[in-house]
Amino acid sequence: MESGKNRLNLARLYFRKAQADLESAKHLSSVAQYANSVFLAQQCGEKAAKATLALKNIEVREHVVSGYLASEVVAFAPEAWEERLREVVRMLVALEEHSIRPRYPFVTASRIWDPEKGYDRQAAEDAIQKAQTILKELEGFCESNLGYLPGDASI
Amino acid sequence: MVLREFGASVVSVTMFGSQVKGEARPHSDYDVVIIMEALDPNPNMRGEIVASAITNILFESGLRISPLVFTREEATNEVENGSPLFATVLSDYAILYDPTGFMAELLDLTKRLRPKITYVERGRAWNLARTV
Repeated sequence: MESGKNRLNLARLYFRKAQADLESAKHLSSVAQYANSVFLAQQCGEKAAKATLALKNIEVREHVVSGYLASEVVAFAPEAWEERLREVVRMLVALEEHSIRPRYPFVTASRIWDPEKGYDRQAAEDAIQKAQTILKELEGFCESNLGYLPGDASI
Repeated sequence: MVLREFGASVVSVTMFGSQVKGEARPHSDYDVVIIMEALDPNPNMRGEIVASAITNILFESGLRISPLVFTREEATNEVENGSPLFATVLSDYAILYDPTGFMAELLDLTKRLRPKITYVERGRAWNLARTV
């Protein structure tokens, strides 16, 4: 990724996908698909973080992105944003715990983890709340500090 | 740092995975098993406490740890029932803190029990029993 235009377009696409994941998470929760809802909420947070990193010319091709966000964005953020972004990172870390568990059954020890039984409405609502905050805060930060302009990507 | 963030009831801290194998990329997370004397029984509350500890460590050191946190009882139960996780830890690990020798004993027990499970990942298959 070289030009500023490409970075802006990539960020726009990531933010758009993050918004779509958030809407999907809300819908899945409303039809009692709580595990899938939590996974989509995690996806929303991950993509909002990747949008922000894209504007810093960093493309991350893995799912755990909170470390990159902390070291490449929060570390250089204006003081007024520091606490808010720390809270964003804390919420992202919490969501990252759900990048795999909602998706697969697996053997833990004496039992098999069943994602459909492992998540309830409260867990889904909590994850959606975190994803919503992450998306709103990071979009606001990018507009105020990284020259981000919301809009359609022109590819 | 881990001891401070997770509190006085930490029993042992063991690193495993790509950081121990020397296969880690820059900013890769550190896989660790943390055994505690006690943990909040509410999984949501437990998740929040762990997330806060991870975040504090991240901002203080720049290291993103990915901890698997168990009580002594939970960890023992995992191993006694042939937990694939603890067998995986055996392939490459470094015990960072274990003053009572609890983790060392647990890993010895894992070796003796040798779970007969074959894992398939990224085009490779391996039998856990043969790795220990």
